[in-house]
Amino acid sequence: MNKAKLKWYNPQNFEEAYKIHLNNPLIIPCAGSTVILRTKRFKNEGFINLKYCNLSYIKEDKINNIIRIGATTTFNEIIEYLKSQNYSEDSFFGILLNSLSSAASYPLRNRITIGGSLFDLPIWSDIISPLLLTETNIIYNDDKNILLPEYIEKRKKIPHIIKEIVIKYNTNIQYFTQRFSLTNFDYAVFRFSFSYSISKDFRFNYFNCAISGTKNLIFIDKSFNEQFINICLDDEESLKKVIEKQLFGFSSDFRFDEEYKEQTCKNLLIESIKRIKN
Amino acid sequence: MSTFGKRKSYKKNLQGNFDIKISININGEELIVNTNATETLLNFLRRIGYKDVKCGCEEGACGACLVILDGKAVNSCQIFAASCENSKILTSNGLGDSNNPHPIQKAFVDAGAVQCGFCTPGMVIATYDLLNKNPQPDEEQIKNALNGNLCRCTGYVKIIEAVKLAASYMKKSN
Repeated sequence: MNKAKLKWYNPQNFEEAYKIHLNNPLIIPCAGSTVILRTKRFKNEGFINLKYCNLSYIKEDKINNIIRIGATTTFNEIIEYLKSQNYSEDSFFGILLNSLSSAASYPLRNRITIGGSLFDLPIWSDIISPLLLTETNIIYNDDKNILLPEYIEKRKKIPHIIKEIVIKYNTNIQYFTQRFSLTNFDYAVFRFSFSYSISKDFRFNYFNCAISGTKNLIFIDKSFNEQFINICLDDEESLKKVIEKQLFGFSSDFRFDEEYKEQTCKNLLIESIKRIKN
Repeated sequence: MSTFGKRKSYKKNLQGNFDIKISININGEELIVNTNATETLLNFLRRIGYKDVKCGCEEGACGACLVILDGKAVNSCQIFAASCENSKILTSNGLGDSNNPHPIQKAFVDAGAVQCGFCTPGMVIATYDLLNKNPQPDEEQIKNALNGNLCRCTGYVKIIEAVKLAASYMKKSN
């Protein structure tokens, strides 16, 4: 595509924006532009500027444990909101705050939007693994909604623009997240997050783990999670056994080979579980 | 990717067909300037003469191209100029010049935080953004605010000293 032929569209509301995209899916939405410019992806016919669509907001319903985040809300706007709410580190918002705060650098977080991050879903995404631990709904086009795991699978087949992200969170379980990267301002090589609850005798009665940065973008495996049930936190041998035999499915890149990533992820996961015991 | 390749792409951008007219406020000056659909704000600013905005990595990692866009510090290499219609931009030269330096610029000189100077405009903008929000930051907050700015000459010690000095200069001037 000749770059000179690309056009910019400035719709004044969301309805106008998604109709432009539905009419021609090669005219793509642009919110923060960080992924588009980093990947130099110009194989399209134009950009839809979402600046005027009023999609930057956070609305929380604390009675029903639901938070609605507008698609063009930037990471720093969400961080500021979460900091003001003083959530504990092991709550869902605690790990979401951790994930958002470690994504890229401060000025980039002024541009990275939550909708753009999910629409483009780069392999270095810091927010996907925490979001997969909750009931996250993606609201798109004319208020259609789809659950996040299904969205990840189908997003490239559906012409759409994300309107908002609706997260129904659970306050009765605890959460943990950790990223692996070369430096703290670098893009994540992988990030794992897990939610859990522990019985009085320190056994897992719930465990759910999501890893981003794998060959298939994410790793979620119900049977892997089920193996943790009833394992005691002190039983390091059983925990190691479950984790060591699992293949997360990383691929090699210019920095690390797949075996290194696999083993690092396993080691960090074991370390993290040991840490929650304390 | 080599720097040579990047400079080539920058030059290529200069020869584009600038068919999109945008009105924009740069350092307090209202301008109507042409750009094209894929020109970055960084290339746009440098093309029209704002050479204080430096072209470093062009992938949002080094912070040399930092500007204040509508009140927020952003990497101008990661933004399309065409999306900045009706926006307000502040570059480091918009803060002050050698005859009338801003307290932050004075602090960088006084603290000896400038060696080759390439990263300095970005550092100054990051400091301006930090001190606007937090006039008395501690060292950890300074490091966090500057974590998107790379310097290849210094060990950041002088830069952190400069930010602390800038905070004290700004406190005095207020």
